[in-house]
Amino acid sequence: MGLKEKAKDILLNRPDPKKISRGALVTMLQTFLQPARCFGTRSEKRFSLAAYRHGSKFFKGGRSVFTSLFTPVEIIYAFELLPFPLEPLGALAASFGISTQLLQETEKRWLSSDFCSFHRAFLGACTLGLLPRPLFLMATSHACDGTMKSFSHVAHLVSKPLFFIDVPYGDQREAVEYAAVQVQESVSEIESITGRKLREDLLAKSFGYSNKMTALLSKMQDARKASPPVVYGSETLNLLMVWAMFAGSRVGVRILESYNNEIEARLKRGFQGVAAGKRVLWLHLRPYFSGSIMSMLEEEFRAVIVAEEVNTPVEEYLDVSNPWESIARKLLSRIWSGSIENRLKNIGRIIESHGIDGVVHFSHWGCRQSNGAVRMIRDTVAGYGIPFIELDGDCVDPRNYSEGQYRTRIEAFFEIMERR
Amino acid sequence: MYTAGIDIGSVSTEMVILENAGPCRRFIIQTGISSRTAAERLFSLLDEDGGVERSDITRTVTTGYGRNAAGVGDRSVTELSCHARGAWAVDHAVRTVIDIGGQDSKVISVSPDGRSRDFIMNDKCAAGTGRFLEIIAKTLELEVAELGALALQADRGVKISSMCAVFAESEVVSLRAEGHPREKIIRGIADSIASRISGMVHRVGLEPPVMLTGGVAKNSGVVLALRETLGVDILVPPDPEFIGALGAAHIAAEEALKS
Amino acid sequence: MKEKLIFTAYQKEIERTSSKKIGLLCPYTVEELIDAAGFTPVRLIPHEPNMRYADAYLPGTLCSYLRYVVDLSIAGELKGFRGLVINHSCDGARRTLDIFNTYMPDISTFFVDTPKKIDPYAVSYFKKELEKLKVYLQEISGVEITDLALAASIARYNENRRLLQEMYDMRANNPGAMNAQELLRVLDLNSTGPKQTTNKMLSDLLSARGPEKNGKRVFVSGNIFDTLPLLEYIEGCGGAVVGDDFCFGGRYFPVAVAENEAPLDALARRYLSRVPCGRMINFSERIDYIIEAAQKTMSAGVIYTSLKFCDNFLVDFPLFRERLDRLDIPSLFLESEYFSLRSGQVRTRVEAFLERL
Repeated sequence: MGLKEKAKDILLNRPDPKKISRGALVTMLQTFLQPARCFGTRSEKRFSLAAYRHGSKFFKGGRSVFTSLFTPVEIIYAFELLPFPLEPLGALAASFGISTQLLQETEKRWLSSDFCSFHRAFLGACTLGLLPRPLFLMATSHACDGTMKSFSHVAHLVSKPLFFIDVPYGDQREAVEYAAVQVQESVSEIESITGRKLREDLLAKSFGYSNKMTALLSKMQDARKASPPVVYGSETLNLLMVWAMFAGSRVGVRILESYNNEIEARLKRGFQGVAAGKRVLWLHLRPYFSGSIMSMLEEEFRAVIVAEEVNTPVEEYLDVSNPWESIARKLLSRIWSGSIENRLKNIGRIIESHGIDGVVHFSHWGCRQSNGAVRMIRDTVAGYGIPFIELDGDCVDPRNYSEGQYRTRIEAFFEIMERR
Repeated sequence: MYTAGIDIGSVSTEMVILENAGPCRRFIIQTGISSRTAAERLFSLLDEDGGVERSDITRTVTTGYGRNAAGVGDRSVTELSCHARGAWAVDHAVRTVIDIGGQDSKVISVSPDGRSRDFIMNDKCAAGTGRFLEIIAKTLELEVAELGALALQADRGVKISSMCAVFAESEVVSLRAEGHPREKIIRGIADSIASRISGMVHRVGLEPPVMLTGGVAKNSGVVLALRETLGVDILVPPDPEFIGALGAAHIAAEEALKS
Repeated sequence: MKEKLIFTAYQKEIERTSSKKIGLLCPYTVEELIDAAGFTPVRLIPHEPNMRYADAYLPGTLCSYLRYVVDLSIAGELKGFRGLVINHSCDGARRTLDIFNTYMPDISTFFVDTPKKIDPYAVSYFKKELEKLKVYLQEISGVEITDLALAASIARYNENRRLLQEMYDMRANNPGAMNAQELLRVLDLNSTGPKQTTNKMLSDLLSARGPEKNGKRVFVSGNIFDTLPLLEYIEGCGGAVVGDDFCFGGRYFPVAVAENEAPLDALARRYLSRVPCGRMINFSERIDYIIEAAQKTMSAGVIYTSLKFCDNFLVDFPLFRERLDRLDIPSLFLESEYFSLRSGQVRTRVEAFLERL
């Protein structure tokens, strides 16, 4: 039995988190980042290894916390705990080819398939008992309604408390206060549960790393503005996971430093590895199972993703002298928070600064906060006189995937870009 | 100069030959199971016809579902671009094209110079495609070609509630058993198709003039239903199923001139 | 039939006594404030299963109720409304607000953020939102909302809640007192008319007595639909709907607003801590409520319905079913678009379900 098959067997047939072998994890994480071939950059390999070590700690019984994609994990690191983000587990499962089984598990139990498959996948994993129990869970209502539902259900399954930050709408005084007081409350609760007080020096360190990461991400996005692309968007789309797993840690800084240095170096020496024709802005997330529309778009049609909205740096710096408020502000200023204004402005900004030829919105099934905005995004993009295409699909569930249908759409989109 | 456009659909394959950008020959066959042989069969028909030699053709563009598998042609271009170009060739004023093919339907926004600007496709679901009409024709024991005229005989259609073409089939059987006349049922089916298409049109944005292409355009019941649902006039070109191939041939001509 | 006449008369009375209308979508909208400003709060209810324009604005995989709201607004059916209040009920509501702001800027809309929590911080935040709503209503009405006016509105609404509770109790005792069509007509009129008028209507109806009727007792849970077909199928197959927890039905009236407190505080607290919607963090209390209510009304089974694409309600079904299974209460799960409960498929399921009871 091949390593991949062996790992799959362990995961599905004899689920025992402690038995998941080192090798299986490496394979899992490698496939997570690059379905069919080797790493695209040295930084990606670095990220893989960091993710492997992180996952390894988790499965070996580290003091962990289940977190949602946008939980301020800087706090978790300040408590010297291990954040384990659940949504990326769906992505991992998809790239490893086991997402169907996880989804079917929830379908058996009457969970509606109208619901986002990222959430259904981790609910399936928890239902099957694939994951070690965390100390507690910490989640936010950003970016969607679904998070509160799925995390509440997981908390019930693992019988652990959930600390939830209800992120309000808008960024006025009252909203910031309401969000900040919840962050503060969560910290008190964590102190109770762990029996230790939050150390200000550790919080300062964590904030410092997070701010450094924001600055590095900014720098990286700046470097990609006008220059020919030296890295594929399919790869950089995964950087969202760096934030989910490592925001506020030294590892996170190292990964982003590595990307910055590598991109700079490639630019300097005139790297030829990415043959670019058109420059694309990619909105939302991407499919993680194999059968890739990503390589079709970027390599076959040479419509390279030079910018992704998910990697927009949030220009709010964390301030240890006003910690809860600055975390609150950061949550409230994210592009998917509140009204559609921030998101549309950001799209416009990127189109202008990155020399974009076309915009793609991947409409992930069940993601209403994002797909509900497509009409407004289409009109915004039309205002810049460049083509827009909406690709319907599912990031995690491979069952409805039809390569031919994507090919026609991507090809047609490319033809529109070509003839301008 | 002769150029050719070949539209290899899942149901039928068409070829249009242009002579100095004016249409001069057209052929249509059932695709069958192989795109490759479908294209070759068309070239055989061309030979038999004798007017134009295959070797006279300067450039060939393929389009449609089988465009890449056909193994002929100098280039392949999606049917979205080809239908836009073909509709525009018939009438430069066209700004929205609705193509209802055998197994898919699409709405294309056309720029003033005949390019595809934006589009939306339905190739996941039979409702709103020619397939739907075939299923219903069979259920009512009619030929697809007879449906249009019959639909026009009804002043209004029976409401078909099923969203799915497969379920609509059983619904039609029940309606017949209840005594509803065929005309009203067919008209109801036409309304159903129009309603599906209308949703797609509004997503892309309805900008008249609107042209309907594809084999289903020959069904006057569907044309009427679309007119009523969208509230605008619907242009139907002569030989609507050839528009894709026509557009491909024009694109071939443009490219040939450039080089 | 006697009941029908009363409805027509009350429809007329509602039209006569209504003032300028303010539209609302969700029971988290604090109607007392709207009432105290001299407006009539009117729930937007789609009447025709004929969606003409919504496809151009919102995807088909988003709540069909919200799509209908957008549809009828684009069609110009909100002409008689002075404004529209939209709560932060869900992601769909957020996007709907964006559609209004972008494509229908002439329709005055006001957004009220709504916390998912019910602790004192949340109540305090919600109160601040209500203060903003108050300012908006004052601006567009030109009328100051005094504490006195607000207290009067609260009293009216509490009376309305009490009367609805009585009506529900009456129906639970004797399902024949009011059939599905009548119930839904009453609820619709209640949601679209001034409470002064609808309170009178409810009082009158309570004094009428209907024939005794029995049937297999069914409790229906759900959010926002055209539920008439479903309830008629239940009755048509020998069932009796003895209770529900619809947004504007069984979950609308429980818990009065405290009348001996500062009005905005009392309102903020009541609206957040009423029987929760699936969107609230204490959503499991809704499950408790349904089970309790089903048991109290001696229901033989529960039909759990939800609009398609509504994460807040759909995701709870597995938990809910688990609890019902443990209690040996038969359940039926139906998810549907706003108007799609009228179908042979739904009827078959209902029939089969009732055969189990």
